[in-house]
Formats: sequence, structure tokens, C-alpha cells
Amino acid sequence: MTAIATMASEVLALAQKEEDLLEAAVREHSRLVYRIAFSVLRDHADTEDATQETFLRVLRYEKKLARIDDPKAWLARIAWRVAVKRRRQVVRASAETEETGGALPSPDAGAERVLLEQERSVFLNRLIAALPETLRDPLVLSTLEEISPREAAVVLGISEAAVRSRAYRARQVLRERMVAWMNVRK
Amino acid sequence: MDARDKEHEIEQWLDAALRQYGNAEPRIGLENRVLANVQSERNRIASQRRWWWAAGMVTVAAIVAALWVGETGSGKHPATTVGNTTPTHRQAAEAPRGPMPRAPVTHPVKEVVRRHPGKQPIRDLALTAPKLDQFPSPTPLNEQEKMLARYVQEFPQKAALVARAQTDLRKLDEREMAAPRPRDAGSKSSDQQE
Repeated sequence: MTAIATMASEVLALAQKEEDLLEAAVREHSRLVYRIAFSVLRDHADTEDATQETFLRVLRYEKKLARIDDPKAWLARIAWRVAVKRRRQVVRASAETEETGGALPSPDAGAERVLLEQERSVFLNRLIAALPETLRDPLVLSTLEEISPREAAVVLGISEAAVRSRAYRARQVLRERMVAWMNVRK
Repeated sequence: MDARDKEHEIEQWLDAALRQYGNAEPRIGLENRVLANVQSERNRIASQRRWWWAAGMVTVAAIVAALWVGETGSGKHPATTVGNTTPTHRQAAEAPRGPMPRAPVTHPVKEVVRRHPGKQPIRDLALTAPKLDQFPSPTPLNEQEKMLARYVQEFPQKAALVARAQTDLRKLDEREMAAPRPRDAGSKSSDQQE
């Protein structure tokens, strides 16, 4: 009888530990998950849904969580997959441009400068969206300050060197196109 | 501004723009919303598991009950049950007098008993009742029969005379019935002519 009671208390303790681990993961990494999802989806409502879905998936594998060596990279990978899957489902071509291009310039900047900044941001977003997936994904992940190239490599399932080189190439493409665009504009 | 300065400026701007690109802040309270959602999902899963457990237990209980009923049913009705439920008149006539031969058990009777172990239908009760040697079963005399018996007791000679006369009359009738009918033969020939 005592053995059964001990076993039951151990099971309960284990379940409680799993719950605590998940809660800690939510508290610690929800912002990262959100940013990863946003870098793919570019829409706040979709991003929030993707964040919720990511943690619901984690709940399904809650028992695994204690054995994961790098929960951050693991979560980032799940978030990335969820967001990419969602992007394929929800096609919102240009909804992101106006919203995410609104990087607020300093208040003392002139109106012309503000307009130029907004125009540039919108154009950059279009350029990034137009990049091939193999270049866009490493670039997008490397823009996130919380994600190191090693973690980006884990998320994408490629080598760290490949992440670096592809991000660099994507950046070069963007720079060339931006220069060309600015020349045409002038 | 030469080309190099312009490229440098673009480079700087690109750095800032890409930092901005990945810099998205969630609405306040994201963690709490996620945790609440996770908790509700956890409750849903727990209740679902409880339902599965309950369904499993009910199924197991039903199987055990069915097995138990099967066991007790076969004990109650050994293989001595009469197979055919209602014999036809011809079968009844052909059947020899005396104790009925025991037929092997057939399924329909058993199945009915298993399905309703508590309430046995009347047909089954009739089947399970012991078979008597005499058919129809002896029953007490009705009023007319009693009067006849009294008459025979009081006037035995008269009763014997009446009985003999009736017997002679019946024999005469039988003889007439057995004899060939000339009218039938005539009608048969007329049928053939037609």
C-alpha cells in the first residue's frame, strides 16, 4: 500500500515538474517564438495564432521537454515549422508592407525624410519576400538577435557555414537591388 | 557624395532595416494568453482521457458480464432442451406414443435465454416444462362429462345399449363411405367425354 502511495506521489511530482517546465519555457521563450513566427508571417494576428499553436504542440510532447538538451533551439525549430506551414496556408501577399514598414523615424526628421524611410522599408520588405526561399530563410533568421547562426542552422536543418554564406548572399542581393532602386529614383 | 559613400550609407541603412525587420514586439500579456490556452488544452486532454477510461471500463464490464451470463446460461439449460418448438399436426400424429425422444440442443432457444436471463418468455417456459406421456394432458372433467359419467353409473345397462347402438351406427356409416359410388363413376365418364 505504501509502495503504491509512493509511486502515485512520484507520478504526480513528475507531472507537476513537466507542467513547471512548460510554464518556464513559455515565460522564457514566448517572445522568441513570437519573433520567429513574425519573421515568417509578417502579420501580428497570424503570428499570435502561430505562437499559441507552437506551445500547444510543445504540450503534446511535454514529456520530452525534460530530456531536451537545448530547449531554445528545439522551440525555435517548432515555431519555424508552424509559421512556415501557416504561411503556406494563409497567403497574404501585401498585407505586411504598410504595417511593418512603419519604422518610426526620429520626430525631428523632416517630412521628406520620413517618407523616404517608409518607402525604403516597404521596398525592402518586398525584396525580402521576393528572395528565393533558400536565401530568404537564413537571412530572416539572422535578423533575429536572439538566434545565433548555430541555432539558425538547427532550425533550418543545414550547416552553420551554409547559414552564414546564404545570409551573406541574400544580403548582397538586397544591397544591389537597393542601389539600383535608389539610382532609378534619383 | 561618391559611389563608395553611397554604398556605405546603403549598407548602414540595410543593417538598421534588417534589425528592424526582425524586431517585432508581441501585444502585452502574450505569456498569460499562451499559458491560459495551454491550461485549457491540458484540461480538455485530461477530460478526454477520463472519457476514454470510462468507456474502456464500461466495455470491459460489458464483456465480463456477457461472459458470465454465457457461463451461467449454459449451466441453467443443459443439452436436454427440446430442439423443435412447435410440432405440426402431422408430426404430432406420426410421433410415437410414450416418452418423447430427447433431441440435441439447437441454437435459437439458447440464444433467447442468454439475451434475457431474468425474464423467460412463455414459449421457453413451455419448452423447459417436463413432457408428459399422454397428449393432451389429462384435465378435470367438465360439466357435460360429469353428467355423462353420472348417467353411466346410475343406468349402466341403458348406457351400454346406447353405446352399442352408436357404435353400430358409426360402423354402418364407415361402410357406406368405403363403398364405391356409382354416381361418381358416371360423372367421371362424362368428364372424360368433355
